[in-house]
Amino acid sequence: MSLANIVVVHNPATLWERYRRNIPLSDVTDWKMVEREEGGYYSATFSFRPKSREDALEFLNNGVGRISEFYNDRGIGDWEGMVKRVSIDTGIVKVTNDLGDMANAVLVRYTPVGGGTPTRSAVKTHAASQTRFGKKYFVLSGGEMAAAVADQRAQLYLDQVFWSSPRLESVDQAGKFKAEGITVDVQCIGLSEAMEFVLYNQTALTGQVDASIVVAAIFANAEVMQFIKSFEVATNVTPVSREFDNDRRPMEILKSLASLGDSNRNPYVVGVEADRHAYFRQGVPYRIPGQT
Amino acid sequence: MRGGRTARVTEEQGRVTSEIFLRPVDYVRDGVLREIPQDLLAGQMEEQHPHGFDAFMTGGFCRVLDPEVPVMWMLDRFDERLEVYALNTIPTIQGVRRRQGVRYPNAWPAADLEFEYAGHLVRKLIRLQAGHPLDFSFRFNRQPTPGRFQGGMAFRGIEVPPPYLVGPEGETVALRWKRSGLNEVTVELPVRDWAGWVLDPTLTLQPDATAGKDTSIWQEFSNGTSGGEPTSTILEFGDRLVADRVSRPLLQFDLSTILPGSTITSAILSLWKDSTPSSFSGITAGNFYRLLKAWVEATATWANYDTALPWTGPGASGVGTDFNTPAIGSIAIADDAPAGTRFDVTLTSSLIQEIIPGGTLTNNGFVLRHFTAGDLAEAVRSSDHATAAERPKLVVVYDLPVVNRLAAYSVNLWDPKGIIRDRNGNPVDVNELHAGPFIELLGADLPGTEVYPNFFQDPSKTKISEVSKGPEGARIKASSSQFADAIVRRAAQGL
Repeated sequence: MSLANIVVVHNPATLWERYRRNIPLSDVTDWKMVEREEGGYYSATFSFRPKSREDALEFLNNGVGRISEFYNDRGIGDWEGMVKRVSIDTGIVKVTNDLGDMANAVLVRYTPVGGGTPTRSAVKTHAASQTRFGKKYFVLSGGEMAAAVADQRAQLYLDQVFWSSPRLESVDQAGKFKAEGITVDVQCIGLSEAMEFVLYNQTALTGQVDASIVVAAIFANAEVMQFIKSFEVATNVTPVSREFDNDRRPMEILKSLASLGDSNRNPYVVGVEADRHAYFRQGVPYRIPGQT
Repeated sequence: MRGGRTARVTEEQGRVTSEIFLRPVDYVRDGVLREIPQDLLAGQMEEQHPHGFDAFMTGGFCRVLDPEVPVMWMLDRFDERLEVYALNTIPTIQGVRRRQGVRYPNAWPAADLEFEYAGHLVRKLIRLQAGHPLDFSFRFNRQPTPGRFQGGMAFRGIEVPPPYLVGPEGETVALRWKRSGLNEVTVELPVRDWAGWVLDPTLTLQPDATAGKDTSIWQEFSNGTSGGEPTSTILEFGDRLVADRVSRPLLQFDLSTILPGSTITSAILSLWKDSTPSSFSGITAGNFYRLLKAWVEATATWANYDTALPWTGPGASGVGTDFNTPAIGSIAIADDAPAGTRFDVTLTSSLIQEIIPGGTLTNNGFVLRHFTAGDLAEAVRSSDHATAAERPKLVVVYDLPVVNRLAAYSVNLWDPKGIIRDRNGNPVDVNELHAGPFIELLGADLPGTEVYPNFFQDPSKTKISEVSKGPEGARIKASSSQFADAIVRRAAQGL
C-alpha cells in the first residue's frame, strides 16, 4: 500500500469555516508520516506543488490549524493530525506560518511582591484566535511582581503572539530561484501532540487513586479533549496522585502515567489514533499477519 | 489639507520631539497649521471636501457624490488618513450641509446617507424608505482589522462597531459586517421592507485610542457619594475640607505613535491653572503616578475604574494594583497664581520609557494625588476647556531606535533576486544591511490575511538575526518577535 492522496479539511472541533482541499499524489513531491508507541499518530510532513502562487499563498495563510488526513491507495486513512507549519521556499525567499509561535491564552506564574506562594495571573485570552485555532496556552514564568503587573505581562505577551501568520524566515540572494518548481512544505502534528496546547490542573481532589481514574478525569476535561472525538480508558489500578497544580501539559502527564505500566508490569500506551480517538490501554505486541 | 494633530512632531537627526495634546488642536493645510473650527459651517470650504469637525478630529465630507472622486468622507489622525466611500451610490447627489454633518438625500434609491459628528462619534446613518436596497457596501483606503467591539472592525484606533437597524420605536436589529473585498465591507439587511428604519453603521473615534482622555474622580465624605467628571472643563485635585471632598484627576495621553525601542530623553507635562475652587489659600501640591488599571473616562469614579469594576483601593489608591510607584513627577500650585498660569511638570524619563509601545507597562495614563495636608484644592484646565491651547499637553523628546533610523527593510516573496528594499521601495546596498530588530515582508495582499493584515506586516514581529554577505549578495536570517522573547525574559526577572 502506498499513499494515494492527502486531504486537508477544516478542524471539526473549532468554529472556523468549512474547508476541504484534496491534494492528489501527483501533486505531492515528498511525504513522511510517523506513528509512535506513545502518542499514536505523532507527526507527518509533506510537500506539494501548488496550482499557482496565489494558491500557495492561500495555503500559507489558511492551512495551519486544519486537519490533514493521509489516505492509501485502498482509500483507507493511514494518518491524521493537524497542520502545524506551512512554508514556501522560492529558493531566494522563505516564509513560514507556524502554529507553534501562537498562543491565545496567556498567564503568568509569579511570586507576589515580598514573597509568598507562587500564584497565577489572570488568563488573558483572544476570542477570535480561539475560535479559529482552538485554545492554546502559554505560561510565562514570572519573577517577583505585583498582581496587576503580572496581568499586564500576560496581556503584553498575548498581544504579540495571538495569531498565526506568515513570517519571513530567510532571504538568500545567492540562491537559485525556483521559477516553476515552487513547493509548499507542510509539517503536521498528531492530535496527541495537539493536546499539549492546553494545561491540566486539578486541585479539588487530593490523595491517590487508580491511574485509570486519573486518566479518565483528564480525558473528561473539555479543554484537553478539544480536538478529540472519542476516547477509551482501560483499567489500571496503579495508585497515582490525582492532584496537579503545576500547569503541566496533559499528554506529558498521560505519558508519565502510561509509563508506570500496571502491577503485572504490562506496558501501557496512550495516544490518539484514527478518527480522533484517544486511548489509554495495555500495549499489545503487533502481530505479523499469518504468524501465530 | 493634511492631518489633524493631537501631536506636533519635529525631528532632527533621529531625535524627535512630540507635543501631545489630549485632543487635536489644529490641522495642516497648505503647509500651515490652522486651528480647528468648532463646527462644519464655520470651517473653510475645500473644493471637494468641506473641512470642519470639532476639537476631536479633522477631516472632511465630499460635497457631491462623484464616482470620479473615490472619497466620500475622510478622517485624519496624525499622518494617517482613513478614507471612506459608499459604493453603488447615485452620482451627482448634492450633500446638504448641516452644522455638524451632511446629508445626501437618495444617495441610494430610497435611502438617504447622512453623516453626523459630535463628541467622540462620527455617525453614518442610512435612512430607509420603501423600495430601499437590501445591502450597502463601503470601501476604505486600508484593510480593516477586528475591532474591540464584537463583530466590528478597526482602522488604527478608529473603531467601527457592527451596524444595526433602528426602528421608529427605537427597537434595534443587530447586523454584521461582511468582507466583500480586501478593503470593502457590506452589510446585508434581512429581506423585508425596512421603510422608516435607520441603518446605523456608526463610526466611533475612541478618545482613549485616538486622542487621549481625562477626568476627575471625587469623594464626598459627608453624604458618602462619589463620582467622576468626564466632561468637566477643569481637573480638580486636593482636599476641600470645607466641602468635605477629595478629588484626583486622571489623564491619559496617546503614546502609541512613539516607536518601540525609542529612548525617551525628556517628558514635560504642561497644565494651565483654572480658578482656585472656592476661597482656598496656600499651595496645593501633588505627585503624578502611572495608573495600572485601564480606566474608562466616562465611567471612572472614586469607587470604580469602569462600570462595576472597582479600584483595589477607593480613589485609585491601591499601591501596585491601581497605581505604580515611584512618582513620575510633582506639581505645586499656589492659590494666588492667576488663572491661565502654565505649570510645567518634568516627568521621569525612565518611567515614561516603560509605558511607551514595547515597554514593560501598559499606558493607562496618570493619576494626580495631592500630598499637602489641610484644606487645599486646586483646578487645572481639562481637555474639555474652551481654550484649546490651554488643555493638558505632554511634550516627549526621544531618540528613535538605532535600527529604525537606518531602515525598515522589506522584500517581496516572489522577487527572483531577493532584493532588499527600504521604506521607500529603493534597493538597499548589501553593505548597508545589518542585523537588527525591524524587517517587513511585502506582498501582504494575500488571500486569507484579511483578518489580521497589519499583524502580518507589523515590523516588530520579525528581526534580522543574522546577515552574511558574499560576492553574490546577502543571506539574511530572520526570526520572529524579539518583543515576545523580551517579555518572556523580563517577566522571569520580575520586570
